[in-house]
Amino acid sequence: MDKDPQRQTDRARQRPAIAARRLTKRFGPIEALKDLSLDIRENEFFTLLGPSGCGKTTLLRLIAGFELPTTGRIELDGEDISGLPPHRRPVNTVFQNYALFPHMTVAENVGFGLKMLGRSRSEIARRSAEMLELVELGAMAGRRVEQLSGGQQQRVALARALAPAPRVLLLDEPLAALDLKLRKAMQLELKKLQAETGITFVFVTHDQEEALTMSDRIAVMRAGEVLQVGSPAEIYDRPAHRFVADFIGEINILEGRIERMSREGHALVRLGGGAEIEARLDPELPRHGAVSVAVRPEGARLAGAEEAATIEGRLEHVVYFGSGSHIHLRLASGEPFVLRHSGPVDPQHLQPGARLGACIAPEQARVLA
Amino acid sequence: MAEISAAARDRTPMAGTRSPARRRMRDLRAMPGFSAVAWACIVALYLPIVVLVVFSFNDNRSVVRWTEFSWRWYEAAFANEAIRGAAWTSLKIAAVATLGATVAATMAALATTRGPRFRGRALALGIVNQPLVIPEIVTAIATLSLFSLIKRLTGVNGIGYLMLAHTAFCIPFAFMPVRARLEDMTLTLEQAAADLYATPWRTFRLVTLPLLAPGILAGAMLAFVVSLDDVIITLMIAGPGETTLPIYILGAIRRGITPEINAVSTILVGVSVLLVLLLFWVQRQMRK
Amino acid sequence: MLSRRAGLSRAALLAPALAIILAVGVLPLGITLVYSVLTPGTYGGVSWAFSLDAYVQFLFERDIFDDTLQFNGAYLSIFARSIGLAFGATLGALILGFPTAWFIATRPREQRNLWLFLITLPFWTNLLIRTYAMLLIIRDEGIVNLSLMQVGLISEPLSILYTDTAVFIGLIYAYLPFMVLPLYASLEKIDMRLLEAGYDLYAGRWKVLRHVIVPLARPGIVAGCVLVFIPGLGAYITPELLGGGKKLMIGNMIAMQFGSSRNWPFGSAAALILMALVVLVLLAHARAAGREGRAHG
Repeated sequence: MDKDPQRQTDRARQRPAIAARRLTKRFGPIEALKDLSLDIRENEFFTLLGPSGCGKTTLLRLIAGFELPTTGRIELDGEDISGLPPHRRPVNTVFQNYALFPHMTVAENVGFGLKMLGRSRSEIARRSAEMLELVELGAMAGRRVEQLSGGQQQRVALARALAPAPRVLLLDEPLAALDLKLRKAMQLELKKLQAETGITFVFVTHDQEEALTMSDRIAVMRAGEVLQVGSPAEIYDRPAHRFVADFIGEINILEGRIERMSREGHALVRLGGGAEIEARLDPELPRHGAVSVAVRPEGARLAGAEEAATIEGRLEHVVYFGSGSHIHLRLASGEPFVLRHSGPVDPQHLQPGARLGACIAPEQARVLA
Repeated sequence: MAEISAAARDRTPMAGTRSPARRRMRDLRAMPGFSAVAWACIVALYLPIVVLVVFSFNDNRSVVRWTEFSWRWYEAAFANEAIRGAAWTSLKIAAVATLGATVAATMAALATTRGPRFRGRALALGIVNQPLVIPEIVTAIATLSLFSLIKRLTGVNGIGYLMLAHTAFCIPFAFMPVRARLEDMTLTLEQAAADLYATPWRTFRLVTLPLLAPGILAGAMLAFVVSLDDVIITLMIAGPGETTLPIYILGAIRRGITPEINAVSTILVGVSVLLVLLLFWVQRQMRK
Repeated sequence: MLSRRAGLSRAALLAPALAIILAVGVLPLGITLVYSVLTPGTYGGVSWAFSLDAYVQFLFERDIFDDTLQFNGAYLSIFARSIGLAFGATLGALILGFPTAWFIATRPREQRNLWLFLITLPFWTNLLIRTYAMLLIIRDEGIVNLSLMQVGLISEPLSILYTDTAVFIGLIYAYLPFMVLPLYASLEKIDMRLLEAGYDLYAGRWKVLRHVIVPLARPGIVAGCVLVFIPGLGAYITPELLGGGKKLMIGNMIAMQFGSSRNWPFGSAAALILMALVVLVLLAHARAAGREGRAHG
């Protein structure tokens, strides 16, 4: 037995809370999940991100037990739970439309799980009150569900799912039905709740901004597969896949061909229009051939009058959005290019058709797999 | 397509405000004489029943000339041993048929709406609705043929046959609202219960059943009304001493018209109308 | 494993309803089919000897003396009368029901449900009692005749009761709600701007009705007609009370074979023929509805 608590938690951190092992799920001819493997760590806020139909909700429902995998298995704390019905799995779900029981009060909803677990009346009452306090709805305990606003229903759903202290909390696009302002507030609140309770959260969303804001780690999914798993910064800065780059934030993708490697280990890529750009290249990628180079709009800046520009193009239009502008260029290759400009813009340069140069530092450009 | 036009319809002026546009629209939609026909239909639908009810309170042997208000025909009806017996028979049969049909229909509705589609689902639905499709007189004589055969083979008689027959034709009526209610209920609530550690049985008892209750109640009321009102099937298969209220009324009409028939009829109509009003009320609550 | 258990519990849930209806609704039809090819028993019922007489009897009469078959149109005419009356009632219900449904569909939204309720309520009250109420009204001494004589329109009561007219009125009265409801469902869906388009293109009211509204309401018209025609064809109570048992329809004739006439095989055969007619109408409707659905889908 290891007596050192620090090492114990370290070990717990290493063992995944949830492990998907070669999961496949078919609905008739449709393959919703394709041989998917994934580890979700203890205590993390883990997000499944992807467009609709990518299989993220299916994966969540497999973890909850509403669907059974066609092949493969799901482990919770190292134990195979694939065959267990939902009511025997120590995970709870916050449903997309909350799924609150309309014939019960708020308190009865929150206490439902504990009641099913056979807890004593006093414990149920105490714990429900505690949970409602946690989501700041202590005064609403006796209300009927339909008397609450959307945001309040959302909190009840959260309290209900947290009350039995599940090993893992599953959240299926829980903020989708809220308006923008409430959604932003709930994002922060969810993050805070996760930190306070220390429960592993698995969060499903198609909103990349939401995912970046809240998550410890994100799994980007497409067509039943996980394309990349990583922290928000990793996903944003080092997209491993063209789809990931495109799906998260705005990005320019330029086609070219690797000419040679620089001394720093960067690739020198000849673009379609003739310009050469220095870009980061993962060591495991091939060092030659046709490639795509990704550059975020904020990774490029307008070149000064005397400065040597990395790429040049003609101005198409400028989109102003308050804290800055997006300057849309058309490159010689015919490709569009957007760069973000936060300073004041020189109106002289802003005639459509004007030739403008952009500087791109090597660390801001990245060769995509 | 249908949705778009429905939405557009809601936005057209005549749907809401009392603007000049609305008055113009209303003219456009009015067809000469249509309103008159509609009002005439409503009057014609209710006039006979109103006359029937009014003359049940007439202090006279006549069912056409009004003399004075009186309860005498109701008193006569309540004093009539045959009517009391028939009412009791009707209630017994309707109660058993309602209970049996509602339970069977609820179970069948659960099987056909919960869980994945299965082979034979259409056939099962077809069988459940069969009594609605076959003309009543055909069902009546067919059931008579079966029951008389069984009676001859087993020697068993009794009111059970009527109860069984009523249960059968009440099933589709009880089935309709239960199924409609189940189709409106998303599976998510039941999944939420399972997610919160409720076993399938407790999920059913604590979530499905309470939410389904208005549908079951509506189904039971329909079944009760339908059983109470049946004439043809009962007429064909009822044995001696198994006279229900409608059969009694039919016999009485054949013997000659008396205000006493009006009184009994009024009571029966009153019970049906009350139940249907209650049913509409329940369904309104359900939609809220 | 799990799915087999689900299948078993589904079968268990379906079992009572299916068992009851199969036993009391479907099995009897099989017995009726068998009875229709047996010989009538002396005191009702059947004796178990195969015979197609029931079907032959439908068209021919067997001469008691020389056993030859002679054409007998009596039963055929009952069928013809029934079809005629049901058809007439359907037409009458359509003529009355269409304006009524249109009227309801053009009420303000919040009033429509009340109107629909008023139309449906009679349907849930006992048909026997409603028919009896109709009988009270159209009798020679009924309120209709009395009022007409009072205002001097007629000097002698119109003898409506126990005529085809009475049965015809009774059938319309009994099944009018069946016509109005599907009609309303169709009319309510019509986009009223189509009317504006019609008027805009120089159509008058009747032309808009004929060329715009009626074609769009076709599914409702067909459904309403089927819903009135089928129960009208098999009506028992209405002809029994208002036709006075003299003006027979199929329903009464069938019932009679199981009562005073004691010819169960013939009654069974007639019932099967009635059912065949009904199934034919339903099949035609299903095919028409299918075509309509495909054309619009």
